[in-house]
Amino acid sequence: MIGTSGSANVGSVSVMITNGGTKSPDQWAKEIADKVLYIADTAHPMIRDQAMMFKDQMFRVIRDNIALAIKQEREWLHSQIRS
Amino acid sequence: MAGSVTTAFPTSFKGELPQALHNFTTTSGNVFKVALMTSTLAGNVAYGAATTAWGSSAGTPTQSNLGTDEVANGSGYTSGGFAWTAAQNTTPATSGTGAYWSWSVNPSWTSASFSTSGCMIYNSSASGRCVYIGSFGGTQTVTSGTLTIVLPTNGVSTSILQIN
Repeated sequence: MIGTSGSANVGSVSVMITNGGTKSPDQWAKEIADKVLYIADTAHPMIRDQAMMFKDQMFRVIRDNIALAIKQEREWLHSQIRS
Repeated sequence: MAGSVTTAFPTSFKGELPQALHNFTTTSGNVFKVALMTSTLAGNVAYGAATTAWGSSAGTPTQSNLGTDEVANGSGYTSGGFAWTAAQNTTPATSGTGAYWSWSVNPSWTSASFSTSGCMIYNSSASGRCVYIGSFGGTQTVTSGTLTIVLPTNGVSTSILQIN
């Protein structure tokens, strides 16, 4: 017997709101880290722990570099306005 | 009675895939957009699997026309919604017996002041055909700020669009 089965599925979206401004480097970094790496609840504990440590490190690198990029851009704009 | 929104993979989209009416390929594919729905959904339409197209941002809401159920133009929102570039499509990938795809950036609206209850992703290169309906689980209100739709991680069992 030859059988086939399949289904079309969708993932759920969520909403992030920052009232009174734009997203902070922390929010950007979390968003990017979540987009790059998903850790399943069902993952083996050892693998999950390593993955979470890696994701945390990735989050910090992204956050710090976004903050630095914003700072440099503001300094450049400041110097352009002054000159 | 107000309308409703239920997260769904539109049935019409299932029929359109084997007709090659959509192209999700990075850079060379179609342009997809995300339109936001009002919190009131006064059109009494049950958006979900039966929804077929975006239609326009004017007129009576139906399953093929979001119409006045789309968030009004202005206050940080532009009618038609957020547009991904084709370069932001993520070419469908496979893993095991499944296929999945998404977009590389999360759509967002800045300097925004509005309320919304859900979203519709549609193919603006193919007559506005709907490819996704998403519920936010209730009214989301942003005031002079930034509203971001966070897409799930692009994976075989997590992606916003999957065939398993």
